[in-house]
Amino acid sequence: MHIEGWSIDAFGALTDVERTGLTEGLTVVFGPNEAGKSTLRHFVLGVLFGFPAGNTNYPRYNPSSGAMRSGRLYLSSDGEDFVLSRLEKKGSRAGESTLLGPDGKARGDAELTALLGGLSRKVYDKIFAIGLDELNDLAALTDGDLQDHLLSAGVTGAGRIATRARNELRDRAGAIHRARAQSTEVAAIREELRAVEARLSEAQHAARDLGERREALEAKRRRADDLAEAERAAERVVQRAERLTELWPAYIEAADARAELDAMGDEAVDLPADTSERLTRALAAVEATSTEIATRTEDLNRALAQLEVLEAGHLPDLAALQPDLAALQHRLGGWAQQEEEARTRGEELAELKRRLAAELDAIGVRDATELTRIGKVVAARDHLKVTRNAFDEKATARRRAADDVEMQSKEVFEAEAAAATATEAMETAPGDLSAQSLRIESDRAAREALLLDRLSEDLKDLESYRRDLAAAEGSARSGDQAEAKATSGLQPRHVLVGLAVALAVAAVAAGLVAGVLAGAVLGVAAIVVGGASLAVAAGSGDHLDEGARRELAAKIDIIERKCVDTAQILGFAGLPEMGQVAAAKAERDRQSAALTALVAADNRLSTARAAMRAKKDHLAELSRAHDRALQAWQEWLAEHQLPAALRPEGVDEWLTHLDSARALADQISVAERRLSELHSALEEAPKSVIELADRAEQASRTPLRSGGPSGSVPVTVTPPRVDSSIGELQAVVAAIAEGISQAGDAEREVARVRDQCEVFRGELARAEKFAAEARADLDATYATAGVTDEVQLRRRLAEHERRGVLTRDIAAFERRLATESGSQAETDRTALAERTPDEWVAGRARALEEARALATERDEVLREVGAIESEVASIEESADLPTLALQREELVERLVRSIRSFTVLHLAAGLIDRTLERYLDERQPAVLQRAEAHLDKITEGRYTTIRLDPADDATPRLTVVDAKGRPHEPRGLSRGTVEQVYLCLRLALAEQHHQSLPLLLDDILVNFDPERAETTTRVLADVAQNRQVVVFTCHPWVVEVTESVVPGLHLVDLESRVA
Amino acid sequence: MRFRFLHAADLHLDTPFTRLTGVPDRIARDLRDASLRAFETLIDTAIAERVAFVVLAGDIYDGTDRGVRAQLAFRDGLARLADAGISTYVVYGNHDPIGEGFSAIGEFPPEVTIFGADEVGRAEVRIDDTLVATVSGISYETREETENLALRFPPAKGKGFHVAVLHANVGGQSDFKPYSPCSLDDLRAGGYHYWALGHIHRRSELGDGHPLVVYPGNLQGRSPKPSEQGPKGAVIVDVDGTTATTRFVALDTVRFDHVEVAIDDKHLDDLEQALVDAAEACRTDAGDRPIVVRGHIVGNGHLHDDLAPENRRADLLARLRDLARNAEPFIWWDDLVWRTRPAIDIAERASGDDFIGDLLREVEHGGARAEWVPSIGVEYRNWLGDRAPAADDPELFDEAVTTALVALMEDS
Repeated sequence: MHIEGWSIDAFGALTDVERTGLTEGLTVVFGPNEAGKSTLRHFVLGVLFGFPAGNTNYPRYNPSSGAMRSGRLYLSSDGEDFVLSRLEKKGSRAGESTLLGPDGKARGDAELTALLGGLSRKVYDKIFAIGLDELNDLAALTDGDLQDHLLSAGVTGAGRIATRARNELRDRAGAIHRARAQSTEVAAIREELRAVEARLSEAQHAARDLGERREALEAKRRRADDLAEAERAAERVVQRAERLTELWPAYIEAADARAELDAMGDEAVDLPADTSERLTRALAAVEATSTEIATRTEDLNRALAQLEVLEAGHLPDLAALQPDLAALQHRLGGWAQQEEEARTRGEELAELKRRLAAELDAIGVRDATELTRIGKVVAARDHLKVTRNAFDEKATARRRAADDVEMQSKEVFEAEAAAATATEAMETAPGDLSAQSLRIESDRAAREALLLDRLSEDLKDLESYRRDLAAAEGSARSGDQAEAKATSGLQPRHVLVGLAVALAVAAVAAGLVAGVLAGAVLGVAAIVVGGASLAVAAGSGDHLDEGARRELAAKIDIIERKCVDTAQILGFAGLPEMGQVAAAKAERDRQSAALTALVAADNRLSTARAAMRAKKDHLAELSRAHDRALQAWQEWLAEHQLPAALRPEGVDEWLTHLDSARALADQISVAERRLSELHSALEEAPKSVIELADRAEQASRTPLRSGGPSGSVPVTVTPPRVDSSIGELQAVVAAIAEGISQAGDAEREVARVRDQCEVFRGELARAEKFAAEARADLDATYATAGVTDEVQLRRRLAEHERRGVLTRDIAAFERRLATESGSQAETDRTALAERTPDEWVAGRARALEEARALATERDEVLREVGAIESEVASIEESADLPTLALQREELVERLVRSIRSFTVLHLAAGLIDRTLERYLDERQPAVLQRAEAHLDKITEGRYTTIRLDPADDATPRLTVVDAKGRPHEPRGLSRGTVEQVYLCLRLALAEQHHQSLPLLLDDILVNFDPERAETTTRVLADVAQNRQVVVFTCHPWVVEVTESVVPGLHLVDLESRVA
Repeated sequence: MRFRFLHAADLHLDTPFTRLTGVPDRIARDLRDASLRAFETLIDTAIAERVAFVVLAGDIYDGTDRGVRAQLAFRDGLARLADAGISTYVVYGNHDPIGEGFSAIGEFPPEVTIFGADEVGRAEVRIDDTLVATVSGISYETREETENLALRFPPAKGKGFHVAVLHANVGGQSDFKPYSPCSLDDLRAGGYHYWALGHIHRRSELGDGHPLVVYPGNLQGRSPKPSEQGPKGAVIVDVDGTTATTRFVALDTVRFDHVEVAIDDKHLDDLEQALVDAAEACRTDAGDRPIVVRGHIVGNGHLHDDLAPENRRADLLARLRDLARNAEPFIWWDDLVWRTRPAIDIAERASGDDFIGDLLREVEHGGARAEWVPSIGVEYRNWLGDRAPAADDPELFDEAVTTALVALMEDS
């Protein structure tokens, strides 16, 4: 494949640049700096492999104009031409490419890939692109790197060096794992694993010790229990010694008491226990009863004196009045109720009379006495209601008729308003709005509308004929031949047209003269037919002769005049425009509609007024019937002497008032009778009270003596009047009752003092009886104790008390011994009898010492138990084992991954190594041979051989041998020679590639001297025999050298931008 | 009579989780306790389901050491079952052979039957004094039990449902040790209705259901290995007379799983989001349990080159872990496994006339690969066991080729 040219739409600084005509062989692209040489080279690569995206190391060359990168390459492969276009596109990493084949049809991506030998840009760069920068870089390389570069140049081309890649992989693998190395990743994991496994082993051993620790725990617990038991035994010894020591004093006291009791003998041991209490109680009772007797005697004497005083006084005999007083008080209650009823009844009577007066007034009667007479009218009640109903019907009918009249008057009003509106809508309403006038007006409007339509049609025709005439005249002027043809070509059709026009003129004239629309229509129709024929003739391209044109002009004249006449009829000044006619037609349509509305409104108004008149007549008839019924009613009232003011519509209310008045009159009659009865009954009350007051005053006329115990007030009352109210009478009776009550109180006081005297006598008798009993009890106490007086008895009591004290002391000791010694009581008793406190104190001290020793040992054992328990619990609850196991597994996993990574890197490095080895064995010889040939030619036989020598690290070293067989390390060669060796290897590698792709060389000659530049150019020319070689340079001398070596060199001068 | 029992196996109580690295303490604690909590859930489930009995088919503990925590938790769990009136029948397997290790447990409740290793033991299950089932079983005496113990089971006799409990490799499943190897025919011969098996960690039912031959799988996944992924738990067996139906109940407290995402033309953020979404979906599938997830990244594209350096891959893993930092229940990204290729057409490049073409052809026709795999020390081999790099591991060589290509194509 080779490049035949390019067309750059936009790429970096280059826009709209096109070159074609490049051929296979050597091409030099010349351009000074900034001429776009590098841009062009990147453009070529960009179109071939894709425009670089932002995330690559290649420059993007975005157009400064902001346009998208785009352009195309013209390619040739195996004699076929292709066009490869590429357009930068968002979302597409490399831009959108299109490959057109020789047939102009688009080819698929596979064909492009095949065209490029399946290479990526990276690989292409490494094999087929050689740049000055690569050559320059060689100068800065160390010996080893230079070896690598040169070796790689013949193996992988430029860029990544296989040996370096391999060595890096080895380094990475070595960082992970190396046999016997301690600083690798795997070694670190190994150490961690060993440590964790050691800890894990310890934890497992600890877990296995669990059973043993549990047995030790049980043994310690048993020992602790034994020690606790021994300690408790020692404590019991201590406690017994302390108990006996404490019991010792009580024991001694009890022994002394027993001795004293034995010495007292058995006298008076049977004295009752309560003797002392009985003596004290009996003596106290004797003394208390004596005091009681004295007190009761004094009380009795004082009451008897008081009774004597009271019984000596005189008491009024008022008690006999008590029954009469009670009866009178009861009757006064009844009278009070009657008096209240009389008052209430009086008020009710007054209210009834007021209401009756109101009812009489309501029914038009002056006196209640007339009610009886009027009551007879009740018999005529039905008649009243029937009359009233008939009257109501008439009144209702009249009201409805009146409503109808009202409604109709509204309709008349609305019809008048509608007529007024319709009238206003007409700008020129007819002065006479009669139906006849309106119809005439309507007909006139219709005619005008028709005329307007016709005028509009005529105007259209007129305009059409004028155009035809103008066209005919134009044709006539265009040539004699046409004219002759038109003249000789007069056809029967044209004769017919002439006749039609003549007829039309005559008809229109007749129509206008007669003013008959039909005639005008006929005329116009004829003109239209004739004109149409003429128009057809003109439009068809036929030429009209002069006569025909004149006929057409005459027809136009006729229609024009007809239009003027019609316009005059319609009120236009002169011949109107089409627009004016249309406006007039619209105005006429509007007026016609208004007129129609006016006629409708007028009809509605007439109808409404007729209906109004009919309804008013009906109302008048009903009013007259109503008046007649009213007159009959008045006559009937007079006949029955009923109030003339009674209206039929008030009959129901009047009858209600009448019934109410009659009921009230009845109630008043009953109330008056009851009031009379009450007044009669109340006249008895003052008499009865006056009588009782007189009797009371008489009974209390003798006053009481002063100094009495109570109630010494005489009964005095003010006698009542005969017209006193019941309340006043009740006050008098209350005063009498108060006097009677006071007399009763005095009598009750005498009785009370008498009863008190009897009580005092009874109490005195009981006190005397108690005194005798107390005396007898004291004597019995003496007798029981066998003594005769108090002194003897008290001596006997003292002896008895001492014996009791001694006995209780002995009993207290026995109880204490039983309580404190319990089952050991008898043993303790024996001990108390046989030993002394000193012995017990000594024994206690020994036991205490033993208990302390035992407690100390037990504490130690318990501490050990606690420790073992913690240990066991720790083992049982410990998560160390699973945690360590987890850590171990994590480390193993890390180890697995590290070993795997090591293996992968090792394998990868080995793979490169093997490939390199095979490459050097199988492919390198051909590359080297070709490179040697190039180097020989470039150095003109000075260096003839490039050799690969084995080295220590299995990577061969490259040696250059001169013509005399002397080997040279690359570092020992001049810079230019090293660059030439490198170039030879690169060229040889490219030549060995099975794809014949263009070699792109960027100013590779600049570091060469003129001779080497020339010889190198010759080598390039050799290479260009089999593939396209494009040399980019900015040096004119390179161009000159190349042109001198390669006659007819294809030069692309970027400055001229012309191919 | 109808009754129900629970069948579980391979409890591996207090087992260490394997093949995990970099697990933070918070998650490590949960992982450490996961097997014990799963066992507690098993006990709760047995009680809630009102099962008549529970059979445990070996590998109760993870190792002959039998961790103290594991033994105490086991004892407590069986005591809870006993309190609820549920009897338990246990055999030991290759991880906890009866003749090895130590016992921290003095005595089990009387409702617990541990079958010995001398002969097939037999126990009757009665409900209201009616014999409903007979459970037979045998434990391993030693770790490497190579005898076909199934042949020791005498023919099932008597009324009721017959359950045989055995830890064995039926049909020689290659990714598990061939302990007590036996065939389905061996199991059919005894006339048992239900073979309660243990040893294979993948849940499965073998044969045609006559008899029911059931591996319930292990109780709690222990590593990101395929056989340890997915729901783990026990099987509930509903028995009516001598017919039975099974249903699986998930009891695991942490779920292991993996997600696979292709790089294709993805950008890094797309890849990250795809992984996060896949992990979330994974956790939802796990019933909102905590999950340990491993991402498998496949396909070819430019991201392969972008993420070729180990440190960038480590950064992505760290980033995923950071994003899931506050997830509750937790999501722990165990690792990212890269099975991606550069954005080149390998087949096309293999036909190329350059060094890379030569290299790819070298791989294709290179011959004895086993010789290429470097040897490692014995000590390492002991640690690595079957996880040591193997010459027959195609992924290993794929990865090596990819690594070589990346190294060669990297810009100098």
